[in-house]
Amino acid sequence: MKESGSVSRSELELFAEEVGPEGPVCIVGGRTHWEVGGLPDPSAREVRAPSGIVQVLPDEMMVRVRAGTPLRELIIALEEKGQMIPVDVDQQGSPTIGGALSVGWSSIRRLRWGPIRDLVLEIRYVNAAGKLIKGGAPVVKNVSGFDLPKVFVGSLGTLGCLAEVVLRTQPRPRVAKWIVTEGNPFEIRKQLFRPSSILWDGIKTWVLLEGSGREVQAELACLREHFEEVDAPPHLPKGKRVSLRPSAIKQYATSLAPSSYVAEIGVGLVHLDSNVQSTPPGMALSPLPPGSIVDPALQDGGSDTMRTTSTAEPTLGASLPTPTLAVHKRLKDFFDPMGRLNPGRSLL
Amino acid sequence: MQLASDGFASLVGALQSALDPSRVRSTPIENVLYGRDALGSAGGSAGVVCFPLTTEEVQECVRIAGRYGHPVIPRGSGTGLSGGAVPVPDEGLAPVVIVTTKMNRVIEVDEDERIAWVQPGVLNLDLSRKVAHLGLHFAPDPSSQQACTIGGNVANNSGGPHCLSYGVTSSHVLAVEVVAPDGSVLVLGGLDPEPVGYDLRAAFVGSEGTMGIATRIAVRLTPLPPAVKTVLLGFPTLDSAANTVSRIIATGYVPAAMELMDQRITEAVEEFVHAGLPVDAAAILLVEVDGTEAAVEEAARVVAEIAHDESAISSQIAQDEATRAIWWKARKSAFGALARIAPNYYLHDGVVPRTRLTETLRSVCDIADSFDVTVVNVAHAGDGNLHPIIPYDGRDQDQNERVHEAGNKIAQLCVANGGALSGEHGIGLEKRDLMGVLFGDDDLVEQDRLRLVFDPERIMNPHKVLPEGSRCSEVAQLLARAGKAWA
Ligand SMILES: Cc1cc2nc3c(=O)[nH]c(=O)nc-3n(C[C@H](O)[C@H](O)[C@H](O)COP(=O)(O)OP(=O)(O)OC[C@H]3O[C@@H](n4cnc5c(N)ncnc54)[C@H](O)[C@@H]3O)c2cc1C
Ligand SMILES: Cc1cc2nc3c(=O)[nH]c(=O)nc-3n(C[C@H](O)[C@H](O)[C@H](O)COP(=O)(O)OP(=O)(O)OC[C@H]3O[C@@H](n4cnc5c(N)ncnc54)[C@H](O)[C@@H]3O)c2cc1C
Repeated sequence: MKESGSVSRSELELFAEEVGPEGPVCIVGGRTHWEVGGLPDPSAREVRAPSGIVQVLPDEMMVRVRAGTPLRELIIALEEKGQMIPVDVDQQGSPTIGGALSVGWSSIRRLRWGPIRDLVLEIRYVNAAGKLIKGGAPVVKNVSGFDLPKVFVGSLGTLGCLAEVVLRTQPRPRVAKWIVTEGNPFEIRKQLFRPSSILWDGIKTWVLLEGSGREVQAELACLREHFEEVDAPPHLPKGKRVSLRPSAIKQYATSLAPSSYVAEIGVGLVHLDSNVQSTPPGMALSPLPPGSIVDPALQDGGSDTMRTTSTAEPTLGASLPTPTLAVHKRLKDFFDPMGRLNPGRSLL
Repeated sequence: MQLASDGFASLVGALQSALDPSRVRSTPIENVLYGRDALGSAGGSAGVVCFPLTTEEVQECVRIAGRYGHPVIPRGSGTGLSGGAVPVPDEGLAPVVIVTTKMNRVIEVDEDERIAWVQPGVLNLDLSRKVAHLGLHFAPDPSSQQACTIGGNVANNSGGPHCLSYGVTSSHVLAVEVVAPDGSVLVLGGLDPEPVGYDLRAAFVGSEGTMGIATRIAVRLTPLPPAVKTVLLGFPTLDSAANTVSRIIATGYVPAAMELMDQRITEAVEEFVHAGLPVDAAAILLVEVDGTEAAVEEAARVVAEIAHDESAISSQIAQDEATRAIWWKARKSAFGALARIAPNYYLHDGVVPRTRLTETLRSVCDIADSFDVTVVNVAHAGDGNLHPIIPYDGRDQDQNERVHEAGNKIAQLCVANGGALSGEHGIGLEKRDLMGVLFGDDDLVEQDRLRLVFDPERIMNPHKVLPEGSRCSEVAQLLARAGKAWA
């Protein structure tokens, strides 16, 4: 094997032995999101990833951490070195970094800092054959081979058991300011250059601005609305997450009672209580390309046509087209031919 | 190769009846023209070259190639630097090269959502130009952006100077419509933030044409910054320039771009572009900060202070857009300017942790000396992404060998220093056999597994990225044991 760059090698190997090559296993983190994707078969043997921070490298804007490390421990260790990763943790339970990556939910600061998948530079995992595998490399930019690390994000432990990861970190912004206003959130987005988060409950809009003091002041000066500073964002309903193309939020919100939801503007996520009807009849959102809007110029070889608004009919909770679904299934089959990893849990 | 056989003639005939015959070509000229990419040193031979206009035409081409059992090579503008688009015959069968450059329409722009659907043949810079009036741009900006296609950017997960703060192509691709190796159409990813299923979009971006052909791409558009400041710094030593990079990162300011050029390349570029670069400096840095007016003032001041502290011998801030443009032109024409030094150049793009930039640059020079070749250095320094360039005369066989040996050593050096083989140009053919330096056998088999998920028959761009030995053979057996079908 090659130089691993990791000081926790033997511990990783022990973990690989524990997972082994046979029999159903389910990989457990902090169990804070255990029900996502369905409960695993109770007969599956439980395994846990090693825990501990291997190295915080602020000059590289990177951290190497074992997958079982509690998120809170990681956040504190990074804070001490003036770094951060954009993830949110609230008070309950002890979620782990492996669990957060495997669930794949991004922070409410995604608008500025990007989705959680963009954090992952290298992964070490135990595959279904019990072998320790490395994907990616510990550098911020890398196209050496296929991107296994990103494919693992959001895969709910169904492709392999994460043992250790290298994440990209960011310098902690010196100032972070939440404000609240009654202005239109879509207009506010246009007025600001780099807001970290814009949340809307149908009545009020919360905005997070981060950066140096001057940066935040400069952004605030661009706001045409009256606003007030607040300590924290609104409470997010935890019952359901609805994923929409960002422009569909406006229409979708008309079917919801104001204050019964919190929408992430510019991102497209809506947080709801579980008792809220989340799929209004007649509305659907599709991830499909605008198949119905093939540019007429394509057929006749004429000049480009530009459209400035989307005419794609949204379709909610769209199921995957058959050939695409087949590739998703094949991914699971090829990475776990015997179906031993988190049996019973599925993304599809 | 099977060029003259009946089988080949009937393959060409089938393709010509599916597409307009003028868009299916197999003359010796096309054979050669589409037999290489910008790597230059690796030559293949295109069997038949197709220029489809629509997704449906791409499907037709792929299905016909599949029926005749010929490999398919996706191709954009051929500016790739790792031989990714070089057609390699598979078991003697002539490759069907599918060129996407005529699929060059911007299909839809949603200004509010900041998303564009484009065909793969749209040139990178054309997209930014077309949306500039909306105050938007496509952030990945490879130096080849006037010529390379967005399909090529997606396939190579390309970077560029401004990817330091904006992220590489993968961060700007929301969804891709793909013609799969069996001719079916897949939609990977979505415009919503949490599309259903696995992140197959992520697998496809950077797959170098081995997983299918991108036929429509939904890209994220980024607002143009309200203010930009570009600082040109000259340093007495390479070390002081590299130290400045590390120290800027350590302050917590992440500039939009931070590019390094050594003296030799600066001289060559200056002669070519006349940008007023400080040719007396051992190294120069081009640093760009963007954001709100107040933020860029502050960041530019910090950059200048650190540079001063590191004994910079010159420091200039672009006072107008024309100066900024010519400085960037100078940086982006670095490779072109090398034609003044020698007829060919060989370029690696290894990446190292940024704190090891100085020592790595020094070792690169030592390696060049030991092979008696000249090296000049350009680097996306903020990302630790080196571009050591070796100018040479390809007609000289001995030089040729020394240059490639030195290149291999440089790639290995990057891995030994805790980095990776390629930061943005991809593995292709060129670095395929070096993959074992970075990965173990099991790691490579696992990557082959991912490739097989998309292309179980290995039809798409065969012989690229993974060394021939790293084949995942157990999938078929295990699936059979589990009573499941193979594809
Ligand atoms: C109330 C709350 C809100 C949160 N909101 C956010 C948010 O907005 N953004 C954000 O980034 N994070 C958020 N988190 C954190 C994150 O979502 C959770 O940490 C994560 O989803 C679950 O972590 P866990 O360790 O509890 O995983 P578990 O609940 O134990 O497991 C979740 C899934 O991950 C799999 N898994 C666990 N460990 C591994 C591993 N090592 N390898 C492979 N698979 C593994 C499990 O098998 C299971 O399928 C939130 C946490 C809480 C408690
Ligand atoms: C002077 C110069 C400067 C450069 N600067 C940079 C730089 O700063 N950063 C950087 O990252 N790169 C740079 N490059 C490399 C190159 O321009 C990029 O890799 C670019 O993205 C390739 O695009 P292309 O259209 O030319 O693709 P091609 O070279 O035609 O193909 C590249 C790869 O993509 C595949 N491919 C192409 N189109 C598709 C498609 N539609 N679907 C699936 N696969 C496809 C091909 O099979 C091949 O593997 C530079 C090259 C040159 C010559």
